[in-house]
Amino acid sequence: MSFPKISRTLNQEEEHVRVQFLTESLELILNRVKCVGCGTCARVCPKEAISRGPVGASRRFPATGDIIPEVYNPHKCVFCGTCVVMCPFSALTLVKDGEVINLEDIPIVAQKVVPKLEFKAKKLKNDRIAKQYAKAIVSIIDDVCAKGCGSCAEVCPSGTIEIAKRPEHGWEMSKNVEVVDPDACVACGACDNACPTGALQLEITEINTSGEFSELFWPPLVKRLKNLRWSKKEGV
Amino acid sequence: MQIYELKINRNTCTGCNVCVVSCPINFNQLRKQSFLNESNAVILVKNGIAGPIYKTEREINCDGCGVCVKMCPQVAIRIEIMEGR
Repeated sequence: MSFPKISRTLNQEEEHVRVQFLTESLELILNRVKCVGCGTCARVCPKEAISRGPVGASRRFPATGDIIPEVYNPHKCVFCGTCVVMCPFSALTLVKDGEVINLEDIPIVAQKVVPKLEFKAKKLKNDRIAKQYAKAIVSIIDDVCAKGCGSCAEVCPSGTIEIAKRPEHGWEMSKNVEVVDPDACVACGACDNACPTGALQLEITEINTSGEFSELFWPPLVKRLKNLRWSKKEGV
Repeated sequence: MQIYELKINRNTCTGCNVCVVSCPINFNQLRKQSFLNESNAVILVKNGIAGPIYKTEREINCDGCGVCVKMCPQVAIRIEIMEGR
């Protein structure tokens, strides 16, 4: 018998990452139904313990057992709760010794390592509730966008991006996407995460917070949050 | 960096090329370079069956978008995460 026992398990609804020590256990649970595949958790994780899964495929085929939008590495996870705090869809839960740790009791929140996120609760399609704490500008580079893909429109939880209606095209394949409702955007970054070509450009313009935070932890976290897959900006 | 594997069911794949044509990465490679072959494509039909092309030295590989999975008329494609990335 040796500790810690590290495990990662998967079922239709959840991904569990668990570490069992001699006297206590820590567990991170991803609710796959709530998860959009935005990749916010992967971006902010201070330990790079979360990798991007095949977002487009997992959103298109949610019933498939092993395709998940985010993959959590139980060997790197330190259960700090950063992903839990920053997830705009409240898809993550931290559990200690079998009991859920409430958001306000997570050490990085309770000890003001991260500031309080000032968010607007937005009800989205599919009964999802988003915590919008940031604003972003979405744009699509037409020359780089592969027609017929539609990945960004499929993963977008808020209806900001949709597959453009093109009456002159008879062939279903020639679909392109357009930003139809920029105000609906919850700045999650799912579109940027799902785009296979880099046509999707997302710029996070503001993050609403209040209260104190740790200079050592929060500014680098903001930098990571804004460091999107395709929309890399100089000096960010 | 996550890498995805395309698994093709060799019994049901008919070599119709819909996956090759609908792949957004293939589409962009063709658009940028005016050709599509083993060096720049992500999925191609060879000897009548579709097969993934994955090269470690290449920057561009399968992105896991799932367009090919959705478009395949025989539902012959699966996307899996490669072990030991």
